[in-house]
Amino acid sequence: MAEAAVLSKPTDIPPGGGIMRRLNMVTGCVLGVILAIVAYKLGDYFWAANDQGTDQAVIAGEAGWVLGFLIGVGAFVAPINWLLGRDLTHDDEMFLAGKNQGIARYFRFTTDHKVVGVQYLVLAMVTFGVGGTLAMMIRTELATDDSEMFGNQIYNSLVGVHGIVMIVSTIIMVLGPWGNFIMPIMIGARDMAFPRLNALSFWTLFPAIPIFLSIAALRGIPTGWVAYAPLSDEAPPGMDAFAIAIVLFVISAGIGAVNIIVTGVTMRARGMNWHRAPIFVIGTIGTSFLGLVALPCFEVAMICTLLDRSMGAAFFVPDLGGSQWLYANLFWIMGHPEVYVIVIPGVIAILEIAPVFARKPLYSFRLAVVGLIALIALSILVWAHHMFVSGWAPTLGGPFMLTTELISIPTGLIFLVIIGTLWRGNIWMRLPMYFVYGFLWNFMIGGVTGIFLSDVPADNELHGALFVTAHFHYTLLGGAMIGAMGALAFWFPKMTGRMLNEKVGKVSFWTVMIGFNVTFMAMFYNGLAGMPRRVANYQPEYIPGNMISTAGAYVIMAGMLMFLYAIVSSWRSGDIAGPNPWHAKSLEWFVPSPPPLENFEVLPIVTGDPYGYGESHTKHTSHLGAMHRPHRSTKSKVEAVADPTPEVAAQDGDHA
Amino acid sequence: MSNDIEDRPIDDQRLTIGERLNTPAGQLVKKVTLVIVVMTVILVIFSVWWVNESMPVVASDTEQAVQDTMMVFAVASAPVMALVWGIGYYSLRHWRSPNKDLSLPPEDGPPIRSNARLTMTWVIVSGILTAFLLVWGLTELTATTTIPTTSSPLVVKVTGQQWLWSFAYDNDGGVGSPDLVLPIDRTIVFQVTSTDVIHSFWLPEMGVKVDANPGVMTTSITTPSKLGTFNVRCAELCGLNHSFMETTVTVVSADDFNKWITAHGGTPGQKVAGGTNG
Amino acid sequence: MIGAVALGATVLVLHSTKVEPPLLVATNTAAAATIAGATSTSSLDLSAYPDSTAITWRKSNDGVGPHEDWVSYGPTTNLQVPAHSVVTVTIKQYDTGEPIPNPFLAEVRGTVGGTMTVDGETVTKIDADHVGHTFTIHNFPSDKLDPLFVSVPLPAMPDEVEACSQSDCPNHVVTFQFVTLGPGDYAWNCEFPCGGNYANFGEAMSSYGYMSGTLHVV
Ligand SMILES: [Cu+2]
Ligand SMILES: [Cu+2]
Repeated sequence: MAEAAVLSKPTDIPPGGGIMRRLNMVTGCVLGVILAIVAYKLGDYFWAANDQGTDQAVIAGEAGWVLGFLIGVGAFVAPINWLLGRDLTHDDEMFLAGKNQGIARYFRFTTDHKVVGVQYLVLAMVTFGVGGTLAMMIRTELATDDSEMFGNQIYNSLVGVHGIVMIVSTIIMVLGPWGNFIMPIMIGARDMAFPRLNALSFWTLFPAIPIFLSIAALRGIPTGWVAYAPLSDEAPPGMDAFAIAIVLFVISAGIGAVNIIVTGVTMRARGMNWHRAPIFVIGTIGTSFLGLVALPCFEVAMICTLLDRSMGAAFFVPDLGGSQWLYANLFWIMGHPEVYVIVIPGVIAILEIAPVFARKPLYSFRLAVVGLIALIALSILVWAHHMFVSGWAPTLGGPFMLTTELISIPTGLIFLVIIGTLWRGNIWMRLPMYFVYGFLWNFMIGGVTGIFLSDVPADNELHGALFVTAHFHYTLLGGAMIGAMGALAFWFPKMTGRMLNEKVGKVSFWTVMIGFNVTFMAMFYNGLAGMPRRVANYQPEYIPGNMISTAGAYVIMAGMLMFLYAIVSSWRSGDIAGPNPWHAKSLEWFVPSPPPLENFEVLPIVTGDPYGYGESHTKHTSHLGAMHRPHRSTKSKVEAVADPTPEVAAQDGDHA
Repeated sequence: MSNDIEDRPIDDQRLTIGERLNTPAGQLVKKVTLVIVVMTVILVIFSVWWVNESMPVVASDTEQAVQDTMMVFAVASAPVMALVWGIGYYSLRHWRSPNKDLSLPPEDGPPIRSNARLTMTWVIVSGILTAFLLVWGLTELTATTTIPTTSSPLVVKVTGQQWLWSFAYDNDGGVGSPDLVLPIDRTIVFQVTSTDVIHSFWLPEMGVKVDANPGVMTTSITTPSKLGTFNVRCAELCGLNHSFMETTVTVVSADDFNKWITAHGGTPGQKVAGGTNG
Repeated sequence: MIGAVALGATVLVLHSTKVEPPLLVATNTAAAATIAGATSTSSLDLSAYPDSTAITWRKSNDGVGPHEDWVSYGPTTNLQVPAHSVVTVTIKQYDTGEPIPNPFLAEVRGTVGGTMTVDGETVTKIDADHVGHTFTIHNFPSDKLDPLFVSVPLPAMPDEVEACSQSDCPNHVVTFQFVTLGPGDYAWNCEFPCGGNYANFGEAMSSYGYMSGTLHVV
């Protein structure tokens, strides 16, 4: 790898800088553990007499871990220097940006947006691996109709931790890696608007992962990821860990979202008005906005839960004047938009991929923008459809059925944009394009089954059944995840400079698709037949469906491991990609792969949108200096084949 | 192949419909439409079979409404799915680049930026479909939540607790039972509550589901329409033994119901003041 | 490969953390079965303790926090009885109590004759304001499992008594009989909220093996 070579090179950052240059993930963990122990002991000391002593001590301990980790990893270096009246020098800033540090920069508080993007990608893959392992355990337990494998208690925790880890993982899956890595380059910027906040966003999320895992040692959570009160008030200390991890995650997501919004709104290159911005940029900004509006409700709900549990507040305790519906509302006001925070990034990645591989302009850019905005707006107004059977305000059934069913109109627009782009295109079946078709298949099923659930009488039958589980897996896994895998296949060459192994990629695509559809079709069947969600014991009539489902899940796992193999092996030794392997037109393809620190030598000037396939008059950019190359003529195919493409030649030079 | 087709706008105003269908673009539309129609038929057959095959027996008027809704929605969404998948399929079949060497992209396709008429049609059609779904849903919602004025409903008090259902017939001498017995063809009003956390009272064969909330009473109605023994489940994760929180509902004739009440120490129609659970 | 190994390892670790109390097999008694459908008689002796110090099989606390003060059934909650048998259960009740939220559970249900004895006296229900625990078997019937619903309330020891868990501590003796049908595994648990946290259904009530268990009918 290129980094390996750089690592052995002497650094051209002058020595010095004191302790700040020695902080990294390891010092973070060490200080985190120390502070965690101190805080736990303190909590134990203060509250030992109290019968709820464990909760307070656990909360204190987890908070100590977070604080210690953030200090130890160097998150407060700049503010502390500012406090001491020492401004960071230019060298310090360059050090923070990770200049000439090779691999080490990925384990530090590094501010370069491309480093943060890669960190997010790896973290998303790790969390997805954790969530996937938990999913396999759930499916293994469900292979039989009794709870022989793990028992009810562990099973309930598995379900909850799988849920939340996957939610976190899918929220960061596209916005983290590509919102941070690709989006700034797409808009012609040299970094994000707030590079240090960018690093802070990642390093705030990182310590949440051990906290999620600590749930297992704290006797688990019995509630599922929705953490419904008052069951959460009854739960063991695992619930405290859950709540703290959520609070951290929401802070991290909020910081990241603000950064993406400000970057997207203020740092677009000259000439890139909203009509010329790629749909991915618009979608990223919109999704971040949605996350920023919605996610804090979860944070509030979790803080109230912590107060209920540790200090006897009664926000959600009915017999003390609280209300379980207060919790349910807070949760779902976050919960429904959150689904769109997951899905829209997958959608916009697909929208970005489709024109490149259909070799056609995006069909009706405006329709796509209107569709996205309508999705975002409507998603805030539908939360009560999760509470149709809760008994809360039955009269709201009609209005929320209306808003929910209205969502099918903008969703339809998105489908129109995709199939309009495919219409009479010249389909180039490279790996990313597979995921466009996979998305069309899965997300259609996810969308249509959502219509059943939007109908109040039908929801009375389907709510809380496996039908719901299958439905949202079709949207979140079949839609968002497949979109994210497409994005990975599409932008992998840009991030790493190497092509993703297409042969393995295609095999894994088919394996995942087949396994996925088998798993969740069987789950639809059992759900319609009346099998509830989140049960380890079920009636024997559901055995065949569950066996099929479990078998399918193992196929998914095989496919995912193959995809992981493709990623790892290609990252180490894939074919050299060159700056623009897809002959695409947006700005990220006009810088080297991987892009250098600060991306552009000469900032581009944008003269058109990036979808001008087949149009000679539309050019996305000019003034790209040495990076600028004329795009290939559409008619001169023979000539292009005869003449080795300039990209490949230039690229070989870069890596010699 | 796409380059055989003349780039002529399909919404050319000067042509009649018959003439338009004979333009190359019109012929393309015909071919794609055929694919979509075939796919629609397959999907309708499949989804009707699927719903019939998987859903439980119908044991109440509510469940009948639910399964009708499922059927109607499945049929209504089939053409939409077929449209998207049909075009996807057609694009793979006929517009895929024939180049063996995939290292270079095929030449660019026609630069179609948008089509106002298509967009308008799409929005209007999806609006109409949505309106239909909504009207259907509201009609069914009203029908399944209104107590018929002619009947004298049977009130059953349902108490969920971790991890047990119990039922009290307070209007019939306060009989208490761990399983549910209901008379056929009589409107039942369930008054549902919980002593601890949130549960969800679910009768899969009767299309009834309503949460049992601590400190609150929620209600749901249905009219059993089939004799037999069916399931009662909890549909909201409620802790350790949630998956064992099941019991049965037995639907019997009105006479048998009265006999059952009497055998359990109650008197049909006799209200219990205050009404305990047992 | 690595993933598969990791998955396997995690499954094994978690599988091994599953709490499985030792099995208590009902003793076959000599008496002939006098109830139609039953072919044998057997008996089970259980205790309901105010704390779990008397539970010898529990060597260490599982997870964080003190457990000695958790209520518990003993000697174990993993029970095995024969199919088609008249099972006589004797429960020694050492714990104090409170009013039960759902008076339905202060009544005896599903036993032979619908009765039980408390310290020798035959009753069909107890005072709903002084319930210590309940012993409740409540699985759903299915084509695999015969219906079995048994719920017996255990009267509370008076509050003046200092509750303790040794065999010579003051206690109520509750006996009842129920008839098992075909084989299968049934869940049973206490339905009187006697754990900690909200609704007193946390801690001991929500941790398998304290106030909950499995009844294997073989
Ligand atoms: Cu429940
Ligand atoms: Cu108890």
